[in-house]
Amino acid sequence: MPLPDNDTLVRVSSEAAETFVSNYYQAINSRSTLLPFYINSSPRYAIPADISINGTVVATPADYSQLLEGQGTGAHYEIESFDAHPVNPSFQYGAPENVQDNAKVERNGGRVSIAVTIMGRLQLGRGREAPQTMFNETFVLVPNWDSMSKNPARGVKRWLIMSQNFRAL
Amino acid sequence: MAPRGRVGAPVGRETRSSAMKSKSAKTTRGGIQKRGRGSTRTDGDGDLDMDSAGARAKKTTPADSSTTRSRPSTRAAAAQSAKGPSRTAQNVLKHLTNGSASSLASRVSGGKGKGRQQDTSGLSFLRVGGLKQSKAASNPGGGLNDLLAFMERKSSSFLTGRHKRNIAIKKSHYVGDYVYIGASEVDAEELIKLNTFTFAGTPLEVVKVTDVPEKGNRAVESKDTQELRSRLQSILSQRYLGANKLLKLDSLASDTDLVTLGMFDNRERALKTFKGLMAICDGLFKTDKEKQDAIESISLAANNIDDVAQVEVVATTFPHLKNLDMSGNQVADIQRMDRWKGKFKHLETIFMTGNPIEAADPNYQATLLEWFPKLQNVNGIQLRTPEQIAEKEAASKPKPIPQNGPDFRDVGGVGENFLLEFFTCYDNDRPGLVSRFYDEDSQFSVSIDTRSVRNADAPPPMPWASYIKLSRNLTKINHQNARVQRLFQGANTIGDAWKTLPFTRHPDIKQELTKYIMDCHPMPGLVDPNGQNSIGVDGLIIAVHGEFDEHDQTTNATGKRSFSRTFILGPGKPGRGIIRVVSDMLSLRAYSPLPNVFAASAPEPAVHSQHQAMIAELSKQTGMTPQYSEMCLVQVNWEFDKALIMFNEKKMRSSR
Repeated sequence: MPLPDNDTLVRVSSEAAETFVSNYYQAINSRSTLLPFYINSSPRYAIPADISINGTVVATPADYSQLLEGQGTGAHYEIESFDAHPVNPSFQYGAPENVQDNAKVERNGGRVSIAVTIMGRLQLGRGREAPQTMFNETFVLVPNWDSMSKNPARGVKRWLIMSQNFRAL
Repeated sequence: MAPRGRVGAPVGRETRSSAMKSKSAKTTRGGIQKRGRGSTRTDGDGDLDMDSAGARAKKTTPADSSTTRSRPSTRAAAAQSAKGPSRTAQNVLKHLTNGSASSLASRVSGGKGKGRQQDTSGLSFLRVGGLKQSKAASNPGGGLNDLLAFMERKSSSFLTGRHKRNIAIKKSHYVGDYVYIGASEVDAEELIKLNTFTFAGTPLEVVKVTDVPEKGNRAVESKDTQELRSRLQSILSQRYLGANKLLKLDSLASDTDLVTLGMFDNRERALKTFKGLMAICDGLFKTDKEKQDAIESISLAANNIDDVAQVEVVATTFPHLKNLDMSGNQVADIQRMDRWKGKFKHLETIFMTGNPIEAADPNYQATLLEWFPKLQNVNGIQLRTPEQIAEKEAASKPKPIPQNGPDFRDVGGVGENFLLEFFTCYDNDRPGLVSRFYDEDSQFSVSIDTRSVRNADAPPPMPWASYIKLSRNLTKINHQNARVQRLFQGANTIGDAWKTLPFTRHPDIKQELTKYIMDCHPMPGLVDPNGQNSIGVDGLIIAVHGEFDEHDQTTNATGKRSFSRTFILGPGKPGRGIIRVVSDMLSLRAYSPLPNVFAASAPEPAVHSQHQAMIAELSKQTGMTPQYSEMCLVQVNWEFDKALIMFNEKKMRSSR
């Protein structure tokens, strides 16, 4: 099995995190549907994502959306820093038996799982006076096997959330 | 304060009404300025009565009155052809309603100190003297347009060859004896060359100025303008019922005073008149508060309004209005009210009876309730109570996602034991810690957030110097090399990185648990260190948030910092410890205390009202102030009987 080298792991994990972070918080801020970001959206994953928000386990991305909705239309998440580590260079969980060009995909870091930690600020309500708090959020992203099929759907995400831990600080 | 006017101002009403319908240029002036006072002067914008005998008599320049042949000017011609009963009134209204808000405000409020900055950005200003003494001064518009045209034409004509361009005067206005003009810097350079040039028989004086006197300076406002203003003010004051804080602007078109002024001759004039009235209203009050207190209700009934755009200015002039009567108008559908949407944030009552909308749109009342958040009453029927409005407001307020205690789904105490050991060792024995939990595949990085929000009472943030070189904040570290270098891999590398980081002292987890928030849950899919399970092995992901005291050994600085640290733990490699750190991500920010997530997460409102009731009861029984009662209850953890006992004990002790 040709594992990706360290340089590839760093590049793939940083870039995946970068893309994820900007898309995910944009989706939250614009009240878009969150399901496509989670392994819940992929039939290849038998388990749902583990979503823990302020100490409470949230069953589904839709439930999380509902919590976010309750924060009012002015709620806004802004990223101040993030960091990412490659965790498992060849993630296997839920993988199909035959991944197209598996050796190449694997060598290029296509199967890596990634831990992302984000620090940012959460503003509730509009305007300068609106209260702001810090938040820290950690995700574990895993490969979206559906994106490796022969004809992946357009705009399909390459990594999905398997684990999420959010805390307002 | 009521709209006041000089009620006793004498007005030649009878002459005016006859002049009104006349079309000749000579008689288009309204009666106001025809009552020859012999002291007619130019008004603020240089509008001068061409046919006023007084104006000519007053001339001091050699300009011969018999030869005041108007110089042909397209701009002036347009003005000349304007017809209407009261030209002055028209001018006043033009100035009241046109132009920028600042000129409007300054115009109406006069020297009341409400003056706002004019927008003069990017323009150079010149002061031009001589127009008043020139023959052109008797032209329509006081010759201002002729002067401007002359200056633009003349200065442009000096530019030849590739410099050829049209000089443009962007702004101009008359103040006292001078005309102030604004033009771009390069154009101003050319215009200033016209100094001493002869214009209409008079040498011009063109000088550069930095200060432009305010346009609406009362001192240079003509008597006519002042008089019309006072007429309108007088009309307004008759229509103001101070006791009811009501301004009755109903049936304006049948107001004989307004009609005789010629203010409602046609639709366009009527609209301008209305804007003028609003501007005068606005100018009567020194502060918004004063206005808000004086006028709570306005009636616009029976004004033939078919779109509120015609009276949109009511919403901007009286944003705090509480009651509005729109009955007996011609509003046909809700679109015709669209311009008021999102305005009148304090409107409580509206009357729409007698408008076609009543029959056309059965839902219009519901729409109005949506548009005006405080609206309770439509057409005299209460549709919602203040309580319902308050409830709706409360419901729309942002509600933070509730905080709960630790979500610590540990497996066999692995996470707990790791954390108990970790922070003590990190403070005291980093080399020992690294050798116990980290191996050649473990990863560590630190990222700093230098922009974090802090509590207002938090101490000033510590400097970041000791962390900058290591920080792997990927929003800032964009280059692949730096990203590789700042991800520390392997126990030795991590140990070396830790040596460069400042000394820390974390609070004792057992003693000060509330200074931490710790969440922990299992995660599958880690590399099996034994290489047996290809699917991977399960581990834990732990997120810890907290604070530590820092002592920077290089700068000797000490202080607090806040951190978040994520660990991914997995089973140890063969022949090593039981668990290993797969990943260790440290995030730092300026110190700010954590929310206490251990506080009772029971539904808060219930507890709160219960507490309030206990405070009230304790105050009643003991005679203590509510504050003392609360302190007392907090001390005994809200056990009412204990609070009473404590009170009695203290009372006995103090009476001894």
